[in-house]
Amino acid sequence: MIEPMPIEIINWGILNEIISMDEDDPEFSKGLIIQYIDQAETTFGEMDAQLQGSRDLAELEKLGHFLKGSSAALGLQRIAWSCERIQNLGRKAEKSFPSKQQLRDTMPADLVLDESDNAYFSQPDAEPLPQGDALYAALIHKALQQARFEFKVARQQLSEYYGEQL
Amino acid sequence: MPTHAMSFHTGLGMDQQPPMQPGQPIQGPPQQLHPIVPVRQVENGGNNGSGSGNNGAGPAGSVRPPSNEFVRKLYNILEGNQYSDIVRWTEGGDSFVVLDTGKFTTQILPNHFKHSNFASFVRQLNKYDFHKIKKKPSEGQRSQNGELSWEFKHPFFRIHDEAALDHIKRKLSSSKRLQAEAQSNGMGGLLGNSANSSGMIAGKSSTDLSGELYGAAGSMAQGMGHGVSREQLLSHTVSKDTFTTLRKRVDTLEKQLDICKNEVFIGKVENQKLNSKYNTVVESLITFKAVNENLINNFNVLCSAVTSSGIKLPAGLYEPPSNPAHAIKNEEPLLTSPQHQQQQMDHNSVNMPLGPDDGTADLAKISTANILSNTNILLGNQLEDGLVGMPLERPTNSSGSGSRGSGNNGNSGNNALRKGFHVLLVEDDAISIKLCSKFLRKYGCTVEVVTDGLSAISTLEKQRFDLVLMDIVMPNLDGATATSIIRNFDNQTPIIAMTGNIDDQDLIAYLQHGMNDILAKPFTRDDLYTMLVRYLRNRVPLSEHERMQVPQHTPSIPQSASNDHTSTQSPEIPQNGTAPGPSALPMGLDEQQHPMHSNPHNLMHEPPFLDDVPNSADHIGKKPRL
Repeated sequence: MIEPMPIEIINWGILNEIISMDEDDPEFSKGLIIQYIDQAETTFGEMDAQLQGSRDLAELEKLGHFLKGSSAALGLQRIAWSCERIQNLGRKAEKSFPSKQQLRDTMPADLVLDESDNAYFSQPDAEPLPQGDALYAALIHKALQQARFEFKVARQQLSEYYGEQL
Repeated sequence: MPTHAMSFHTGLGMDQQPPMQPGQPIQGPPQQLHPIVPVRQVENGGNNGSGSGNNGAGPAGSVRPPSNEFVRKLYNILEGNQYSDIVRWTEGGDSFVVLDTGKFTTQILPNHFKHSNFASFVRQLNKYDFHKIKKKPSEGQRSQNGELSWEFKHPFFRIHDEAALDHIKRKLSSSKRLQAEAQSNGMGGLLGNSANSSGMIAGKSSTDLSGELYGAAGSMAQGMGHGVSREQLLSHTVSKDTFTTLRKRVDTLEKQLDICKNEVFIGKVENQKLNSKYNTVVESLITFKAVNENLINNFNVLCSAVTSSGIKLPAGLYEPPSNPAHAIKNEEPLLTSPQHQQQQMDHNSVNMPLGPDDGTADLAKISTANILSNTNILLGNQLEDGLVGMPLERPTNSSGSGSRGSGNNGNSGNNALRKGFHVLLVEDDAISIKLCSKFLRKYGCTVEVVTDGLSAISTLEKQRFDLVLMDIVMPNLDGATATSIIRNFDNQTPIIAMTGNIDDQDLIAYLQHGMNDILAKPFTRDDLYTMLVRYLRNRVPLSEHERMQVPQHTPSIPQSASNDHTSTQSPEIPQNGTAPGPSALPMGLDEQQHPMHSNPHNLMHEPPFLDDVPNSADHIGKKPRL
């Protein structure tokens, strides 16, 4: 069972609560976001290395779980969702990943994609998928691409909110 | 197309009948139909060229005998009997046997069939509808041929019967059959012919229905060919379109099922959350009621004391009760024993006037409560905290002496948290650590962080905490296992699991490991507060126990450790240390008897103060009383 992808990029209910902490600790939330961005990029890199290297599914599961936690804590729910897919694929609790078209359909209507993203989402999924462990690695690869995309979008929105490039 | 003849020059020493020879004597009525078919085909549109070459139903080339060189080659080899130790006719002459597959593969196949693959030889036989005869161990004939022999049979493949070879044809694959069917349907008048010829195929095949299936390649076609006429075949076959439609529908239904499952799951979780919130609300209501009654009671006591010492109170603020016994009896069920005792004590020491009846007592309660909260004299801060439910937004400057001054009554059931709880946060994600400890400090807690289960165990061995918040998935040791180890030496400290994993079974497992509760990630500030209240309300921070013990006892807990935290992170506490708090109001004497962690949900009877302090009764006597 794959739970549905949340529509909103950022769960402002959660993030606002964190931002409200800025009252007595200015830049608290921004500091967290910056730290998160750093952590996400590092984790994506580690996932890439795993996918190109030993493809250790257990390690990928851990990485997915790790980034899922901090993404969800900040209300970055679509990244968290993608990471949860990686986590579950890593422990073989799921064996599919939605198509790009399906994921495109979950995006907020007002979200404007740039050219490369449009190209990415209009290009059909590679078929057929391999079998065995390679299947999970291939699906994790798709989930990671999605996570990276969601990360990019979330980062843009956060940068807009804070009025500076984060 | 069948393999082409290429080995008739190999000198088998037999008559070497050319396979394509026309005009072979035709045997049996079905065969006679063949010459007619192509004529009809030509008449009906002249497209006989396409697909008819390997179409047994209506081959364009059926003026010639069926192209079955493979079979003829095999026949010739057998008739020649040159390799009788390798392959030969069986005694009955209606089947042949390969005695030595090894030699057959290495000698005969390369010479006559241009390959050395026994499996593909068998496949070829299978294509011509030969059947392997199963060996029965009981039959002497078979064992005579050797355990490794392979015997094959075809009804038209008989010794010295070359004419019958014409009846041996390649089987059609199922798709070719369908194609042939479509073709013949399209051509109308052919139906009769095809029905007849397929009847012949069927008749031929059905002679050996019991034959075992051969290799995977031909098994499907063969299975379908057994005694099933083309029409029957089609009527039992689902068209590709129907199949695709059905599959799509199954897919859709599966998706819908997933969605439904998901919704049910979400509903379950929501339901649990709501339940827990409901319980919390009910608890806080009860708590608030108790607090309120206690406040009124205290205020009355205070007023009566003040009045009795000769100070006049403003009219309406306080009305002396006239029926003390009644009032006490009414309050009794809600009072904790220390309060009760305190009240009686006050009655004894001060000949206090008491409320006239229930009605006015209630009025008095309301007015006094208002005054109290407005003036913030005695319990104001705590009361408001209870009312507003947002203690973290409250200024804390007056709460120090206020809360301390309120003594046991003020805290026995208030929903507000005391400040200064020492919380161990076990979490490996830096972001979550920052967030969670930020929230905790907002609620007046002091926080110590460790990042894995092992460190959590060693920290708890050295030091006590009011509460532990424990992540589950961590390096070195997971939170659940760590908890079960901690429970070996500490059964008291509440340990709350923080996890994004909200699978029912996992939750049960966590509780079985000795965790008290579960805080689902990601949690909001309110979720965390609810959890803190659930386990820390009615509690006095350990740090305060220690401070209170200082004059009389050596603390049972290493004081330096936890004082470090309180002094650096909770500024109000040191001030409180010098406040007259504990001694400002009369203390209940029996509260020390309560165990510290009797039940976190037990609101009214939870010992509020000085609990869990060994032998602390002896310093109570030194406290000045009101």
